[in-house]
Amino acid sequence: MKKYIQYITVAIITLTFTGCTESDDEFFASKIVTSNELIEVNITGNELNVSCYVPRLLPQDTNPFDIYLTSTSRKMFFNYTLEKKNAGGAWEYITPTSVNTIEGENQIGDYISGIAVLDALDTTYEYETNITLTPGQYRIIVDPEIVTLNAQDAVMVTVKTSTFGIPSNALEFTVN
Amino acid sequence: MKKISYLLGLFLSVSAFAQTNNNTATDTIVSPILAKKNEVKVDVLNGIANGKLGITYERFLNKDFSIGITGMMFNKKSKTDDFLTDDTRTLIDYQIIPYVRYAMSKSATNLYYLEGFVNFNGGEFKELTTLNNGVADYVVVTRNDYNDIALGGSVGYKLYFKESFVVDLNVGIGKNLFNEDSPSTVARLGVNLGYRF
Repeated sequence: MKKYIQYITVAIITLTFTGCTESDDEFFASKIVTSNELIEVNITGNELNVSCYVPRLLPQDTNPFDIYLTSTSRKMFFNYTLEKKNAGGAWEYITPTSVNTIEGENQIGDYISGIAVLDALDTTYEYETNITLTPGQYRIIVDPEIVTLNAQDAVMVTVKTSTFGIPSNALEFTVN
Repeated sequence: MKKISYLLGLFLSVSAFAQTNNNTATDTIVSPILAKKNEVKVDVLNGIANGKLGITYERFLNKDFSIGITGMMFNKKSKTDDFLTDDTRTLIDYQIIPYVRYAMSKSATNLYYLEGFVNFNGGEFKELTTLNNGVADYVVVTRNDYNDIALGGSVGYKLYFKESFVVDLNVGIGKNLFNEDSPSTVARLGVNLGYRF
């Protein structure tokens, strides 16, 4: 009888701790959609242009998907990094100082968060920025996910995308 | 997991019922506590921490075995309803828990026990629902009801004062069996204060 009780005790304790490791009762209000080539990178002379225009009604296979109605968010962001090759030939992150924001907003640190803002007509999330660069070899790496900001009380939308003309989402270029 | 929970619950229940009439020589020593066959308790832990009202009735069959039932209701007015926006998937509104207990200690005033229980529970769960407004699809969080039955086990400790008042601590877990939208596990955790008569 004693042995039998010990077995049950061990079984209960094991069961308890096994149950504690389960995390299936968490809920993330998150919707992922896909739409290619929403981010675009262009280099003209010493100017790097990064843009992202996301239609609020994002075309999908069947019906368009309404990002704003789902997320109630007027802002979406994506991240990219800018690196410059140093004298030793190694890439190092740079924080650009000459930045001209045409549409949307920027948050600049080790990486740049481009924030696309829904326009006044509520039709397009818009972001466009020009970065003026000094001569050198550069590399831009784009994280191809555009995510709604501040959607805590609704559903967070993540748009998986790609960068127009850069299938690998990374581009090396030289500014003379 | 389901199979283990089911077998454990079944094992405990069968063992308990099989031995309810299995008296031993020690039963002849009857303490004042053992002469009292009924106990009612209120769960103060869940009352304070989770806004749940938990009441238990326990009936002592002999010095080793008892059966009981716990009813637990979630008092929604005790908390702001942020279920739709928080990160929990389910919200348990009620639990009805019949159980069988086996005392592991010989002392009548201070004892450990094992428990097998069935937990009838229900409440709400959240899910994402895609709607269409005639122009486009959009997604909202919706809340729906669920009901389920869990089997489980727990361990506990009881301490009696003045041969009538009891503090009853228990911890355990049960596994919901039938509804995929219900929480996969239900905790059995309580600090109960009660009276034996």
